[in-house]
Amino acid sequence: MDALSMNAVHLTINNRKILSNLSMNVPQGDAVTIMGPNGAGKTTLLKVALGLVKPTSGELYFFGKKGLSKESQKLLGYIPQNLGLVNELSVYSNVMMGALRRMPRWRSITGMYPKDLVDDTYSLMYDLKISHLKDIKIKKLSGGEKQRVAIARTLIQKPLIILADEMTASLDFKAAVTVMEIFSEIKKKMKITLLMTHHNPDIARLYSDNVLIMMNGRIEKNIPANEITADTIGGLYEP
Amino acid sequence: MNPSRFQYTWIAILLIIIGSSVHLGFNPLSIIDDADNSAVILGELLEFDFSVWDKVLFSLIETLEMALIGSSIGFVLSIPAALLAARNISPSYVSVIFRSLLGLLWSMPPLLWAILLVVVVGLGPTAGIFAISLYIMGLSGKYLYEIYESQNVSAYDAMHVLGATRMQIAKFVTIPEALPHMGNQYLFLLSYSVRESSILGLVGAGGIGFYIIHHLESLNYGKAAPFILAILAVTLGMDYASTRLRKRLVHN
Ligand SMILES: Nc1ncnc2c1ncn2[C@@H]1O[C@H](COP(=O)(O)OP(=O)(O)OP(=O)(O)O)[C@@H](O)[C@H]1O
Ligand SMILES: [Mg+2]
Repeated sequence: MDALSMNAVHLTINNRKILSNLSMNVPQGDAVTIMGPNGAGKTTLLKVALGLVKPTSGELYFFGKKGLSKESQKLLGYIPQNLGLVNELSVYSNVMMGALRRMPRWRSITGMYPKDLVDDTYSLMYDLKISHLKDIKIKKLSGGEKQRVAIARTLIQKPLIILADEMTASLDFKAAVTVMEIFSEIKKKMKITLLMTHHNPDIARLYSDNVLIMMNGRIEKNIPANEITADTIGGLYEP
Repeated sequence: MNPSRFQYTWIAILLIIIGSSVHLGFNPLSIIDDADNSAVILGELLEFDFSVWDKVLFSLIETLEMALIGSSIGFVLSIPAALLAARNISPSYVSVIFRSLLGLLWSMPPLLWAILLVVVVGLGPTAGIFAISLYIMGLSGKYLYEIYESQNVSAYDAMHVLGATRMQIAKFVTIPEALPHMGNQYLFLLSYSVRESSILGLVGAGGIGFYIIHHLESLNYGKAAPFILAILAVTLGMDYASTRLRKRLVHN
């Protein structure tokens, strides 16, 4: 079954076609990477899937059910381009923030978090090797540490699908591999479906099953990840 | 804008300035023609009459207290008002209302608020405190909602996906991200209000301005001088202190 699919999605903003007749699908449990030049519409595609941007027309399906219901919204995790962490708050608070749906509102406002969520936060910080940074503000962290906080924040909501936008963009290759190793291990353990965007073909090949090539607001090709090299991608990026 | 249009704009502004001066019969050289007058007044001012020192001290403390209370009330009220005015947090009909409110508070100078409030609550520092509060609420609110609206969009996107309510977004993103700016802002408002509250005495709303206007009007320049000197010393001192404190905040 597909965890997520889109059928004939169009998005026009100010008479400009941002997405045009876009169809794609992500099988449950798979890791799919979207690649494509700047401005191709990768971020916009993810935002449409998340309900942050309303498409002009077209259909969305989550686990076979049409539309983005409140229920399916709960299953979606998001790591935005440049992460969207709160720089002035600690690692702990940023991770806890991911659990807003799992606690009564008054607890989130008063900061009296439930015991089970505090435990979950600690164990995720441990898994992602950021326990020692618990009380440090995000603005003081390195790029790789921030990525791991962002991953922890989305994992604590127990999502079934994670949409991650260029999560390794600011890292050197070694740091990117470290983050992706941790991430894909957890993904397997928790049976999460992944839809990512990356610009690095090596990362795409190593950590996904399929690669979708996106250009001018549509999916042009669907390639098995093991066929992706800098050369094959280089050709596709040319106009 | 191309260079010639740029030049035309400046020429137009210059012409308007000259036109306005002619309209008002304003002659910049009159200050020199009347130099004798200026010299006399300056001379009398320099004969500091320090017999009024107890009133200087008393009214100076009153001015500082008014500024402290007024700017603190205004600042605290401006925080929720700015949240309600920010387009990225509040529904548009709410933000329109609060933007207009803050704009209104800000567009009236504290002295005009003081004139109105003296009528409402009577003569004395209470009117002055309210005047400062209202004006500072407008000034600070406008500044804050612009800070809120310029915050990182992806943090807000992430919160929306997490199902956060407006209150949760304010608590977890808007306020914490703005906090360092807000510390600066408060210090600035504090020293700004000292200057503002030193003139509210002109309309009987408390503070040191009352004595200055009283002595100037009775042509007692020597007695006015210590009060003016006191304002000068305190505003310069406040400015210096708040600049240093702000530098510390930024480096933290
Ligand atoms: N709200 C919007 N209003 C107008 N145009 C938009 C809006 N959002 C996106 N666009 C346009 O849509 C196009 C696709 O943008 P998008 O951010 O999805 O590209 P991308 O593939 O993620 O690029 P990058 O690799 O640089 O992140 C761009 O040309 C962008 O200018
Ligand atoms: Mg993008």
